[in-house]
Amino acid sequence: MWRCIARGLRGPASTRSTSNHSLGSQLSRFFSSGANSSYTVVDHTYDAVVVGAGGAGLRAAIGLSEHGFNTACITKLFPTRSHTVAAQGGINAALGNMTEDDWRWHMYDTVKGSDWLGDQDAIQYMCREAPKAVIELENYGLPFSRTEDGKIYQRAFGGQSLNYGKGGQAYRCACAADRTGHALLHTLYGQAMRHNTQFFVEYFALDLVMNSDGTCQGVIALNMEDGTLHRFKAASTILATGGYGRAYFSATSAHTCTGDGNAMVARAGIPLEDLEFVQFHPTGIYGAGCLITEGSRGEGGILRNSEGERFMERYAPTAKDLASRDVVSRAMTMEIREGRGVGPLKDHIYLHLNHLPPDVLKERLPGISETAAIFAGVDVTKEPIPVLPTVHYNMGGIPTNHYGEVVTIKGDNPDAVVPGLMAAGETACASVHGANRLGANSLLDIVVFGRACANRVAEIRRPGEKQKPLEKDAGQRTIAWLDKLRNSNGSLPTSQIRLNMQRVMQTNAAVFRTQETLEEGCQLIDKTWESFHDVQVKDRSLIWNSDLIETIELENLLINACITMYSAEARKESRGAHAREDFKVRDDGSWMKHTVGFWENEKVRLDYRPVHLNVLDDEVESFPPKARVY
Amino acid sequence: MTSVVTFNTCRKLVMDIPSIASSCLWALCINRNPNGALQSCLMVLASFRNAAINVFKVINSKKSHQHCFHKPPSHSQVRFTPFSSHTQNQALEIDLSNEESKRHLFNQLLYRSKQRGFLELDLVLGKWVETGQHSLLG
Repeated sequence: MWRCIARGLRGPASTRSTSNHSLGSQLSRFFSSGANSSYTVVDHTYDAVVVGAGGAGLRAAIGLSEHGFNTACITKLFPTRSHTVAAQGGINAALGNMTEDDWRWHMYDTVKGSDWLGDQDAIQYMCREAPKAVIELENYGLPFSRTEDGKIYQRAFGGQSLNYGKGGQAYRCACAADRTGHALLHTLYGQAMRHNTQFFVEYFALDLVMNSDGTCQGVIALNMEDGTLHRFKAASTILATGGYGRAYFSATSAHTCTGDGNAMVARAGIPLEDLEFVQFHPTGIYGAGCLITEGSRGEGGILRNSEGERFMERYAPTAKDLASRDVVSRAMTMEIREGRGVGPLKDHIYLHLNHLPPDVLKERLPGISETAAIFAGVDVTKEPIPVLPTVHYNMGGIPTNHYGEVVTIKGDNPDAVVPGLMAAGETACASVHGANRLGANSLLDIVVFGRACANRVAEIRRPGEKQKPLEKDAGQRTIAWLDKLRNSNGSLPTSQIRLNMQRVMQTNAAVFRTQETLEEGCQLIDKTWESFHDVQVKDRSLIWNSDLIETIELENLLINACITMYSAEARKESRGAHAREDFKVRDDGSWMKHTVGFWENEKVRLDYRPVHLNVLDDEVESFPPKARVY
Repeated sequence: MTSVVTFNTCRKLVMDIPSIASSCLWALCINRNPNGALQSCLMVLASFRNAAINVFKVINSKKSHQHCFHKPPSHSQVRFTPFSSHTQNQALEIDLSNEESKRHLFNQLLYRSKQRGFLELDLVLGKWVETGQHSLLG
């Protein structure tokens, strides 16, 4: 039964931590606890609470409601403004509508694409469930593109093969024109309206509410509209808060992608997994991050450095500017690091299209011409476009098993479940993408694991179950932290610290990685974190205080950034998206394991957990590691 | 004496949006691709006009609530919508003569304009609201 009780919370905050002591957590905020100002706290009780209303969050919420659970969905923005709306490519599933297909082949391609860092049990689950998940979406009304005989149209995508890589190109990517994410999000939103889900829109989730025995009992959130605080008690908490692309200077992510769920988990003493694996696209518009697709290079676009040299001829003599994304990205970064970047800071590269006939640009690249005009201020018929390798996916995140349950290292058990806590979507790390995400698997991930979370809750919980009461001081430490942050009177504006962080990440932990760059990056990101102690929040209000919200988001990004940097420095191999110049080969003997990064006392502590090479049953055999070549 | 946004004020706000948006956004794109800029202007206008119309509807719905004595607001609100922040807690009065109220409204618009899901729209609409705050709210 839904309950809502409003009361004022006054008096000094307890010094007792609400984090889980059983996990060895010594949660430390950079501001010590002090007397709270008066904050209005509203308590709610639900069977389940979902944080985030993008594709994964909505899918989880729909599933929970379908199973009869009283569900709250907390989101910092209106659901249809979630970043899922921007996904274009499609959703993989071995439907076999275009050619013969099999989910086992899809699984093989995903394992291979992950460079064998993916957990094969979770990959099996995802690929096997993919056709069912897509058919469910069709039944919900997703307007897939159609073949002439009315079946769901599927297109080809890179890295997709038939017959375990021996049967040629697979056509496995189900799509709705070139706006699949948009169609998906709006379809799920419509379904959510039909079910018993209570949405709390423009509530900012601040922290998990953890019991002293390590169980998650819900979240505490700030209503941005009226400044009240809300404690949501629930037997199951599902995080679906997206990636943390905004930690980098150049990212295709919307501004909402600030890694809030990741940071909430880290502050609760639970590690984040494989953050060193970040996927880049070579050509994002400098300063804006908007994507310039490969189509521009496909039509003859040329990358040039400050000397006017077509440098890709040196790095990829045959393919030149049409080399694979990672090759182009690395080449661009090396040119920049060697001082041949362009612009006042020599920190980007020019993409020339001005040698192409205007008719070709108008006919074949109209979107790119428009994008360049608006976001870079250039006429592509006369000037080059400033571009930079740009983040477009985070493979790492909150470690989960194939049910969507959050797991952590506990004693000798590397897969200990954190009771009451689950995660899905880009914020989670199942790990199905491993070291490198296969194209069009991201939408599949959010749908399959959002669905899996709901199904798992239905297996282990009952609607209306009596819940253990919150501990007396639940959320108080968070309130004290919020109060200290709101009254920060340092000398550095949030925007300056954020830009410093973004530049450190872009310079030291982007595509080009060596021991030298990563060691320097660890030092610099530590200094950036230290500078956050000197942050300045000018606005003291609790109502629509975007200064405060951006500052909280900055802390969240900084935690993600620190763990990413240290994780990358520690991994002495090249694997998938983590390519090091000084350790050029994959090292399965030493590094076939997941990095886990704990955030303890404002420091990163790394540990490792084994990759799951096992599968779930005898429907498929495990794929042994082999060299990834294309 | 304070003045609460009335029907006429809200209507004026809606009617002024096209010219405000056009002049502000055009300044961002001046001397750049006119066709592309025009398309983006239309996209921004459509989005913001919808937001303003929603403001108008909310204000109007407050009036209708005043006459529904037999239906307590909390009951009708809970029954008709699953969205908490837009019903239970929303302050429906927008007083543009009060600096605090105006600041809250601007912050709300700024936050929403920068969180549109598409990076491109975040940048265009967010920049426009940020730079046009004075003309936007008078």
